[in-house]
Amino acid sequence: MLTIFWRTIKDRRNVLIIYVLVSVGVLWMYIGLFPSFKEQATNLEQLIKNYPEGFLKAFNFDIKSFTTIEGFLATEQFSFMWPMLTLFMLIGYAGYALTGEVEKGTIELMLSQPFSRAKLFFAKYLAGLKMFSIYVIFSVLAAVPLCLAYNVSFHSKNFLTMTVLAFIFGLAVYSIAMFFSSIFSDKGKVFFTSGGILVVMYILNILASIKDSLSNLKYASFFYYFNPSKALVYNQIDHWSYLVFLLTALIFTILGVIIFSRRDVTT
Amino acid sequence: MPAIEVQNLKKYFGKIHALDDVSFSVDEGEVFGFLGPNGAGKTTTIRCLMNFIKPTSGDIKIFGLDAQKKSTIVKNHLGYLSGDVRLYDNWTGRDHILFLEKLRKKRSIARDLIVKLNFDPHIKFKNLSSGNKQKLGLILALMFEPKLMIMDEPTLGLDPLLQNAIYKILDELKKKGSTIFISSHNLIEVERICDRVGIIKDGKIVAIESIESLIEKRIHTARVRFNGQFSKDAFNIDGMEVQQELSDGLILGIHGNINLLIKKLSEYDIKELEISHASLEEIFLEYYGGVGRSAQKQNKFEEDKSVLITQNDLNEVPKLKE
Repeated sequence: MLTIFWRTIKDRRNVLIIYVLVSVGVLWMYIGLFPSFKEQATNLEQLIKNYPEGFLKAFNFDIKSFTTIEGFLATEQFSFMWPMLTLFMLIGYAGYALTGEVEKGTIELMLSQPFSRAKLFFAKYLAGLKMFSIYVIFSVLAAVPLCLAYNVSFHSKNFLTMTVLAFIFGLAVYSIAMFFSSIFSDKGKVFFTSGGILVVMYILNILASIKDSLSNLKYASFFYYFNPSKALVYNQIDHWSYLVFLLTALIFTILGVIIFSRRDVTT
Repeated sequence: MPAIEVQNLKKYFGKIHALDDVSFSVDEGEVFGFLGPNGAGKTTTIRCLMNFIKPTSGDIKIFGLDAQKKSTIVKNHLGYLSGDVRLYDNWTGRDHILFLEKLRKKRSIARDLIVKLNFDPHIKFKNLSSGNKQKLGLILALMFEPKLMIMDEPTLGLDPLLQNAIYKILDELKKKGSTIFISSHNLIEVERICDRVGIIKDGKIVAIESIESLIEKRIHTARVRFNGQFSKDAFNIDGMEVQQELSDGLILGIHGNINLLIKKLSEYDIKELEISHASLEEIFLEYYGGVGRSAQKQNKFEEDKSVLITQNDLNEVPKLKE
């Protein structure tokens, strides 16, 4: 199992490096821009106060969005850019991990070897998880040295909390994508289904924020439980966030391994 | 104990009955050919043997172990090669070999096979020719000296030189006592290497026979063009039939030994003679009660197994064994 684990990481190393560089690059840009925004904070706060409450909720604007680096990054980086990059990375990897092998026919080499499909599933799953952990550490905690470099004051504990939230959010998304990778033989279907579900969740969260009658829809969205403002600005993660993300990850991982072990693999 | 024992194997894909009550067994040390036209169920059977797909019902035992439940143990003794080897594009042959050695935690005979097959292991898979891709597939399948080798049309699309290299390696494997299960729709290949054959058609086993018995049932078709006059009736004899009359010749069907035809033709002045093996489909139709035989035979000369014999070759006829 370790052989497949390490070989997978070696094969996907360059993709991981690209995602880390892009993510750190965007983070760098926002931290570099923050001092200019801070100078205009009073005007921007006035502007924000004029926006409807639902809009501010939907896009994670906070009163501290332009006065602290935590608030600024929660709004600018971690509410949209980071989740988008993360979804691309995780769904892309999941599609490659199992469905990609079926689509290319390389799965036959794997399945003709003396180990169980469950081991193959977990070798691929854990390799992806390790790469995602590296990505999370760099894409969130790189803020610490960058803030030091730009002389921006920050709360390091809050970034650790954000790292935890980012990890459990990604874990849930990744487990759903791996589940679809274990049942489909076409990468397109994995991308479309996993991506589609998350886009629907994103829309549900926005709808719930802007219309009171639809407010219960937010509970069906990961983006309600993934609240970077709460984590970065107030150093808190809701208990429901832990429960929803970890339970989703557990259920979809178990279902994925069961289905992959029992399904017909035709290349 | 048989190396492979398949009993009442059924595999349905929705309403399609890909395999319908297939039963056969392969003895240890035997080379068993699995014959059938495209879509007959050869690959589905192999995929069930390899546990790539799950049977709808039925039992598969390999070396006495359930091929599904004990798949992990069984695969310690299996080598698998498909006709369309698909491996990792960006890995070299060496990467593939080292990967499998690490995975199984044992040394292999890959280096010997590389030399035997004259294979360059430093080229990325995506840059290999189809023949070299097949060589790599063969090396990976054989490198742990499997007790049972399962091959799905392994020489499909390969040049004769490489085909022969593969046959030679299979001969050596057989001498070492390994069992070989090979699916094919190439009758000549099956005759060359197999001890026994199973014939599958529309998901059902229609015959299991020794290779000698299959050879006895062999059918040829000959297209003869004469320089002078000829008598159609002279060829309507036992073991031979006139299928079609041409302006200057005949199309003949021959069952079994073709020496009868050659002897008969030596009485005539021949312009051109073309003999081809019957396709497997024709053998099925001939021996298992199918229809549409004539239409099949009309298309026979399109096949690549035909032999063109000229006047010079016919001069050698008296030397042929009767």
